[in-house]
Amino acid sequence: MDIKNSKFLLAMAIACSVFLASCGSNDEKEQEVTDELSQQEAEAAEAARLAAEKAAAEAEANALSAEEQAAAALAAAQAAAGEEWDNLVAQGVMKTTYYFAFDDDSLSSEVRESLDQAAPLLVKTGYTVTLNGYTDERGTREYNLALSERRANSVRDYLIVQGVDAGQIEVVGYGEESPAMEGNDEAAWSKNRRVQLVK
Amino acid sequence: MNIIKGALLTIALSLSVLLHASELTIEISQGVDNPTPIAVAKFAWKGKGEKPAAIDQVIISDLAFSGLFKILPQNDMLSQPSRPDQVFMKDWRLLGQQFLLIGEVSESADQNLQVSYYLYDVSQQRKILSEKVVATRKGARNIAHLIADRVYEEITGVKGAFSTKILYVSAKKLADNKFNYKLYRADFDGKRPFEVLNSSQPILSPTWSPDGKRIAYVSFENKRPAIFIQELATGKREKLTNFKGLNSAPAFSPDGKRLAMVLSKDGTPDIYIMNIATKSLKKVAPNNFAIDTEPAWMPDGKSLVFTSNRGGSPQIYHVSLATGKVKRLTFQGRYNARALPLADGSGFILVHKSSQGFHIARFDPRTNRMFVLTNTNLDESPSIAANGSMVMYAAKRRNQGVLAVVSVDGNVKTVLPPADSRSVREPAWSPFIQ
Repeated sequence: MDIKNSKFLLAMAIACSVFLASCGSNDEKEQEVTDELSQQEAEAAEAARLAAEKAAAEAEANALSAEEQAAAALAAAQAAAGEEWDNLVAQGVMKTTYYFAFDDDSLSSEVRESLDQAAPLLVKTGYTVTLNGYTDERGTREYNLALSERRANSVRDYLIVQGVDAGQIEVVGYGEESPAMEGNDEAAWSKNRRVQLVK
Repeated sequence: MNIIKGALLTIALSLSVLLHASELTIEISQGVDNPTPIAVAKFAWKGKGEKPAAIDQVIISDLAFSGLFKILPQNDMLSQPSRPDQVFMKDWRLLGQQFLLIGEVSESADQNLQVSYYLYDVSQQRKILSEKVVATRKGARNIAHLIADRVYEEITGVKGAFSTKILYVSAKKLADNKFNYKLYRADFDGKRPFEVLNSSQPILSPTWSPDGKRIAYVSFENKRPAIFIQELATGKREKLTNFKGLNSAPAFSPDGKRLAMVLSKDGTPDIYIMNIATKSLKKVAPNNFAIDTEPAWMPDGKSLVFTSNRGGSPQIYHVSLATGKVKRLTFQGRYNARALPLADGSGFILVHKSSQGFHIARFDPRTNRMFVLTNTNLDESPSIAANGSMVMYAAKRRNQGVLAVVSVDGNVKTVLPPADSRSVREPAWSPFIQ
């Protein structure tokens, strides 16, 4: 382009110096030719660009489908694990409510067994879960709020040790609020001192 | 006691028309052994318009609430004087009265209420107090509380707290395990409830600023606990904290500039003090393993008491803000929590667990004496009246949460069950409000 343009400019300068009167019309003519040339060149470049883009898009599409395949496989594994989770919960084989002793946030062996069962499925399903901590109605509300959070933290910490990602677990302490069972005796209290895993 | 009950029945009947569904009712279960006999005659209405709410009935209710008085039923009176020239001392001596209160209600030119009242010492046969007070018609109850305050102070020497307010939380279980929570502000006796907040999520720990103009509370309205401060006059509120984990137990400093609170953002629940204006936070008495909660300011604002299980069970500790020095105060039993200092320096009101259950108790660290004030078994959330005479707390009656009041000497006991089926809890008794 640059060389052609220089040649053209040189030719035009000579032509202009010889035929000064008609210089304008000659100039326009040459300009049209030049425009035609550069347009063809632009079209060619555009076609090449489009071809490259198409090739890139195809390559990308191929790569995505590989990713998609992996995602589909993971989703299938998660769904299977999710189904297993639901079945175990429905059959009452796996517990998602964990009970505690009075003014205590330590995990009983029974609770640990339940969590041993839940942890690998949480890893497989990738579920984001909330651990809601509660206490019975005895004692003071603010202390119980703290105690209920500690209970939920105990469950969280145990699950993390079993390989569950910390980012999968939210913890909220509710204290004496939302009792599972009404009543002012140990039968009700023992049902209310709990952590509920909610997915 | 029968006389008091008789008087209360009269109050209940005369006010039943005005009973608001969410207000509290009053049941006095125990008064002092030798209550002071007082007669409160009907306050005569001398105005032209509609008769305002019975001021004398509110005064009677207030005085009865204190448990210190035996109130003569108005039906047993030989006369109903409302002006000094109508008082015959002999009549009241005959009826065994020690004090007599009479009054007259009239309308001022601008249609406000004008109340003239006179308090007599019957045994000394002389007028010991007289005053003329003015208020709007809507303020009839305020006038009654004010007169009750003056009468109470004149007779007992202690400032009356009948003009103070309370905050409390009312909760109801709905279908599908859902709940409704309301935060109310009401007169000290649970009358005239005003809804401050309504939420489907828990509301906890309401508390007053020392001037009574602002309140702080914990709301789960965003599904997690956050501490809010709200101006009562405008309703304007500010979310003060919303840290990860616990945001709880707010307590205004005596100067109103700082807020003690509990946050678990660093792992375990710790006590913090926030400068309300700058929001700067300072951790107090940290312990990386224990629950620390329920901070309460000592009256001088230089130290706090709080509940901690750092010794293995919840007990009361004291921390100096200047030195950070921590000292355990309670050793009796396995559970002492939520201590509040008494303004006269005589000790603390707290929740104490006995073999029977959880009670409100008074603890004197000088003598190490624990004096249990209540005989119900699920008592919590004590709050001390501005004049230091009584403690309001939350109790359970069957499955319903009720508010209850006990005098700091344990002699007077009153229950305030809600008029509806909701559960009420977490009373916070206001300071004196100007």
